[in-house]
Amino acid sequence: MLRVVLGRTVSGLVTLLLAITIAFFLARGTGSPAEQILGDGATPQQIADLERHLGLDRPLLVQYVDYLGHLVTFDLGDSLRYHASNLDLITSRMPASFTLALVAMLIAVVVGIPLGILAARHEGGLIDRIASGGALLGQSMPLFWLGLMLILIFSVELGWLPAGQFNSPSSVILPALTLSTLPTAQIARLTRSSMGEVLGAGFITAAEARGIARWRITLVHAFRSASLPVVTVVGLQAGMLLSGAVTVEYVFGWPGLGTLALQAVQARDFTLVQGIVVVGATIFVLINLAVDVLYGLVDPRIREGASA
Amino acid sequence: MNHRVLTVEDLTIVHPARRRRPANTAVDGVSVFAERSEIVGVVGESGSGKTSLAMAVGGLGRVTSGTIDVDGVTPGPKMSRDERAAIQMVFQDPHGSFDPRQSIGQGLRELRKLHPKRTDWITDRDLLEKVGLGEGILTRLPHQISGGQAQRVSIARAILLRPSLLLADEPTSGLDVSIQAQIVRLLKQIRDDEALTILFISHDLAVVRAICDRVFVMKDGKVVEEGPTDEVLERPQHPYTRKLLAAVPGAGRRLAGADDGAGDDPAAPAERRSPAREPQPVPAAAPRLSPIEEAV
Amino acid sequence: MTELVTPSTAATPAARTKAVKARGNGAIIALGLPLVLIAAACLLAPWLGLPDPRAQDLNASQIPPAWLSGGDWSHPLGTDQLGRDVLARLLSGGVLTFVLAIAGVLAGAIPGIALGLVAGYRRGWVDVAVSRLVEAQLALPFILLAIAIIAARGRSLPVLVLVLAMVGWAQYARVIRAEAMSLREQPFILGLRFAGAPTRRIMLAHILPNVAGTVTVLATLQLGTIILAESALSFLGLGVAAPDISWGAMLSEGRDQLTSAWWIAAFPGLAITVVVLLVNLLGDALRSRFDPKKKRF
Repeated sequence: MLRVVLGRTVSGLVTLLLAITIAFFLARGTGSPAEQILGDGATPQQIADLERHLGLDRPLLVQYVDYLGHLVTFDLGDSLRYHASNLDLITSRMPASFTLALVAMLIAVVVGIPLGILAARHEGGLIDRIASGGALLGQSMPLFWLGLMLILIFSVELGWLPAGQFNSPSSVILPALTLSTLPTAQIARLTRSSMGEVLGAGFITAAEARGIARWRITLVHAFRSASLPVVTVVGLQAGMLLSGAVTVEYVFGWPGLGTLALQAVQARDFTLVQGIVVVGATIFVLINLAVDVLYGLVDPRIREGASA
Repeated sequence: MNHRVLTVEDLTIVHPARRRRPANTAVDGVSVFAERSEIVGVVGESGSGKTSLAMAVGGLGRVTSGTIDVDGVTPGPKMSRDERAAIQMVFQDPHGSFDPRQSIGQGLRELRKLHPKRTDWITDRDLLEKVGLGEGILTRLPHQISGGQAQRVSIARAILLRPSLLLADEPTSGLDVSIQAQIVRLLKQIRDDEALTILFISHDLAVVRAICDRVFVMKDGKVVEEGPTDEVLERPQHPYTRKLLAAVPGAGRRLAGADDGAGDDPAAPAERRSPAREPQPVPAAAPRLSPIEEAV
Repeated sequence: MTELVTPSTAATPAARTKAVKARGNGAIIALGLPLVLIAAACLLAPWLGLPDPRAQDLNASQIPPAWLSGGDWSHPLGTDQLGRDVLARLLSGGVLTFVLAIAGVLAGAIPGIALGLVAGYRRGWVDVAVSRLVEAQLALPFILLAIAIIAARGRSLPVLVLVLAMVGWAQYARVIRAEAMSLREQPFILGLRFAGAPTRRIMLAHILPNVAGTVTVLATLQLGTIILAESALSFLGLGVAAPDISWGAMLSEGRDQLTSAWWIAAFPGLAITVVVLLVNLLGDALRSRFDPKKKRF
């Protein structure tokens, strides 16, 4: 088991390194960030000066190694715009993003799993079709558009819920609801299909034959078997939430990492952008790793270390 | 003395270890040979190494040590296109042997484009006639023809390139028994007409008995017995050969020599049958022929 | 040897398959047709007698859609704060949206398929390198890479297409690699190698055509994803910039005017949803058609 964990960790680190490298070279490869920062009116002299100031005139490989060196000491450099430590900036915004992601995930689980179970039990029935249709719709809709429409209906027209800013508990509702659509759909879908498989399995019928109440069978026996893939998906979705979070944060003016990243891009603050990319990638890889390990713990086959 | 087309000497093939699999010695010091116009059988169960042997002889498989010589050429990755054409193969899965998107005619055309000079000795129609098929099959797609027809086309494609050696890897195993007999007959005919040498790989002793002049028995990468087919199959020396024979329908023949304990030691090296030997005790009942032999 | 084939027994299984196939084809047409019509409408917009999408008229600012009070049928879907006709902009923006979507799909598919083919058929170190790359790409949310690239290269249509290519290429590579790997073990491929066919010919003439079905399904499903990705990027101000129009860019403008002119945001989003929905359904239908064994969903 330990060997598997170690293997996955190494693999995760390699992936992370690869991602950072790709982002690094894509960003600095050709074309000049210095040019971007100074804008169109810059003279070649100004560009050269800024490049020297930022260390961009050194050979790319040297920059790369230098950057990696800083990363190891958790030094993400300073923001060009805010003149503050990037790491500080990023960590100050994380609570907001995490709150949003957590609430969205909660909604997804609380709504998605029962929905999936119901859909599996009444396969082909009305609930199933509505759920399937809803899931398809949710996957076809731009997330941020849904957010805008929700704001329109619930904030502007009906005035029920606030439209953003992280100032009151209720302000998280609309953004979280919006963010939760895709994970809910995924979780419902997966719960439905894995429950569907399990419900048809022999031991369920045996339980029924023994006279155990139907609802009990569904809840206790079936769900326990079906929960493994669901756990996996929940873990994976958590990672994907970070992706949709950027647009949703932007729509609702949510003071999280997403809006920070956008502001950084607009301000041409490329050290900050780089820092956010690194942090984001790290979080992502860590979540995937955690899911892998969790999966390994629960699935005994993996625990034994796959057969030679 | 007939011309030796195939000489394999002391061939060893070791497949290196992979992620979940230790290293595997598929072929261990094997020597086989075949003379022109001979049909030589390589018999064994799966895992005996016969497919690895065939692929190595065909120039597409790994060779760890030993030598292979086909008509003066050493098969391997550096073969020229023309040298490759001299060794052809017919496979077990008749339908899998074709690109599902190509008609039979298109497939032949492709071969002709690859080897324009080598293939101009015969037209499509005459080629198909040689394997007992009509021209109409040229426009068909692989899924539209039967297994027996597919196997005939495979043989046609193989001989179009005028090979010196034909490798046949379980060519009848995917077919009905009656069709098997037809294919066996066809191969013999081709052998006669084209003076072709065939290396016939199979686990099915009944078919081997019907077609092969000589046979090599393989187990776990080694040759455990070899000799003229009749001798090996009627008077098997090695216990493994006997075991194989016992599983064949129609093995009602009494295995003469089974009682005298000769060759019971599995570690004994393969024996070379001498032409002069004592006459056999005649089996009391007439031996039952396997369905294949009845049909052929 | 004569075979007795009774017409009923012979015809039924074949006829049944034919019926299933026809139904599948019907679904594909039923879904494809609206998409083609929408695309055609967008392309033909300049000739439909609508106002110029870029013409500003500050006197006609923020007029609601025609069926609401204050609306006017000369501007069926209303106008934005600069007096530009929303319907005209919608149709005009559709062109760029479709063009970018197709460009994004192709920019991802071509390298993805090529890499997948070589990795799956040749194996060796190429396979290892490509697999690592694919894993790295799939392990990261594309928005991070998008931000990194756009921050450094600035905003332009070519950069946008590059970013969109990164959305999908890994999927193609992974799937095609798997198919190539299984195909290369097939007897007919071995037979071609025996015949001395060169590697490139085998890959292009025999492996590629046999994965065409998979590629088509994948590309169709990707189309929806890429439309959503482009809309998101343009919405965030990272993609299409004025004066170019795409549906995502319109949504960006619509956001600022949500309270005073909600229709500017509503219609582009609706358009995106409808098109992506059709594309997703079409992809599902194609998947069932090409491989009915695979479950929908």
